[in-house]
Amino acid sequence: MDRARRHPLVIFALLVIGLIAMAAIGADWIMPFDPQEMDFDNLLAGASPTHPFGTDQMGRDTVSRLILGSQVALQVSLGAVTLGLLIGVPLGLIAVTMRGWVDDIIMRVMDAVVVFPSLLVAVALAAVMGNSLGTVIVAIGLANVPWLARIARSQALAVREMDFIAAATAGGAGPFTIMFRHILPNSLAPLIVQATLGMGYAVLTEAALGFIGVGVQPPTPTWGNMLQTAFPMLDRQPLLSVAPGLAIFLLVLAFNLLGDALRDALDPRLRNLR
Amino acid sequence: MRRYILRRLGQLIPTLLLITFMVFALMHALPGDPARALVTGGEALDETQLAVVRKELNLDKPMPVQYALWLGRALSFDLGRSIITQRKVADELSLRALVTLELGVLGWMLSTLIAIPAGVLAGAFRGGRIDAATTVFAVSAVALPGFWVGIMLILLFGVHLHWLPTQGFVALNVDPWENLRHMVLPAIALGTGSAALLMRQTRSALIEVLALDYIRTARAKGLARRAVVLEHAWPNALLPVVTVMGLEIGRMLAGAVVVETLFGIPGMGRMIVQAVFQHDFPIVQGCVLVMASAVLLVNFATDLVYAWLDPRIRYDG
Repeated sequence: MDRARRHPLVIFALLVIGLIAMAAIGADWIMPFDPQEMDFDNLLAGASPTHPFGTDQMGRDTVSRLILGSQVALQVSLGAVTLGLLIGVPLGLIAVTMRGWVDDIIMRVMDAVVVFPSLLVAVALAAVMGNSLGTVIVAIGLANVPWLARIARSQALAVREMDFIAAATAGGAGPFTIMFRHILPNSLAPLIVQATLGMGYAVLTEAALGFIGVGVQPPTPTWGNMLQTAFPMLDRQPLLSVAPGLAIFLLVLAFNLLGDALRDALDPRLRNLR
Repeated sequence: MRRYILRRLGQLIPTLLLITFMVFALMHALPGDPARALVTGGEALDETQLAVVRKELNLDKPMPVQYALWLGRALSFDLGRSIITQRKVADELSLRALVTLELGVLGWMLSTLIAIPAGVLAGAFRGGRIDAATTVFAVSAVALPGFWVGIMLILLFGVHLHWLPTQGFVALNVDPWENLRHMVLPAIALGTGSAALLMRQTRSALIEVLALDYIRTARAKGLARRAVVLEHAWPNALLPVVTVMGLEIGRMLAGAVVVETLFGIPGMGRMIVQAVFQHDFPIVQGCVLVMASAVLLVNFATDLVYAWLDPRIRYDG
């Protein structure tokens, strides 16, 4: 796919992310109903002008619950990726700066952490610490660490060989100044790409956790736990299972399209492959 | 090749030790006294009984000793006993792991059988209709939660068409046909995301190889397009694809946790979720250890396959 044809996709992605972010921030103002309010005259209602996506088995409005659920989706994706960056990037950079056994130890630990899928970490942490938004963010964030550390390290290794770094060293800059002031800013591109793609993956993992019941607990609606409540009602009101799935799909698609577009923009070599 | 295997084994063992240490450390992250959490009825024990438990589980010894003893037991497949069923964790796990293995293999086969031919066609006829269709499929499927694909499959094939069972499991040795009927939908739900990634990887690997000079030479010799793609380009494009196929195991196991819960399949994934709700910590610990080790070993095997396919890796890396 050439760049011109990808352009509308980027606009689409930014639009979706922007709309969902606005919905999450302005949830209190734009929710048409109280997401916890039960309407016993309208149980499992289908689509209607009052309830565009129907209601659940307690008569709660699906649109309002989706809007409130977007808060958790964005908190988890932003929180987990930020945590991953804050731990992973310094680890990767320290490994490059210190070299030798420090490098070996850090990277071996990363090799070990990388074999734990984020969902598994989350399930294990839920067993130990209980279910909460914090557990979900920490679990997905930790699972992101080794990927980001590896990317930071390999980028830093490449940048370190460039002439301007030799110039900075000759100018008397210390190893950590060089690392964080000179190498890091020039290593950001692939990290930004990975972070964007990681946000999509975090949304998927959060939804899966919500569905199996170890994520953020009801009554706080999340897209995942909405699917969990909807599943037993699948034969009676399929719309209830369709709507949260579409919300997840749109947000993850948007993060992925944005990540792909950033990669194309930042790495010209890959452009020919599209 | 032998030197390469030995060197990779040398890296594998410390990693495996680190993984076991992390799983061991999980036990000590439990709130309260681990002795209470690790035996049946632990909440009700008094101090003298707790002391017995601590001695039995070596919790009274210094941390490094505890780890060494725990590791020794784990290596002989002694992972403690389930708090709920009182049966050995290793026995419970071995039954469940086979179910998950079957599901994983089916999902993996399904995704490979669809993704590789589709990816090759898309790459060979870049910009064509097949390419457009596979790209749309791949971009969408990566963004779909696998379990939601499962829910939609249940809606279509179970609720509406009544073609396939949507809940439960029949063992392969009891009734192979029923087993397969129960596994089809879960395998599709599990394999879709992987198929999408594999398809994109296959396509871009092939396109990259097709741009190389030796392919132009082959074309210039007058070889048919089909022969160029399948005999000259594809074997080289396979290399990165193998890596992705191996790396998919982690995603598959994570997917199995959710898909087994959705379809009521008694595998390792459903087991760990149930164990979390029942506070059956030894089971959680055993499942995490087995799954993480499986990912590590498959990644190791992938590296070996890669090295076997590509001699350059063996000699330089």
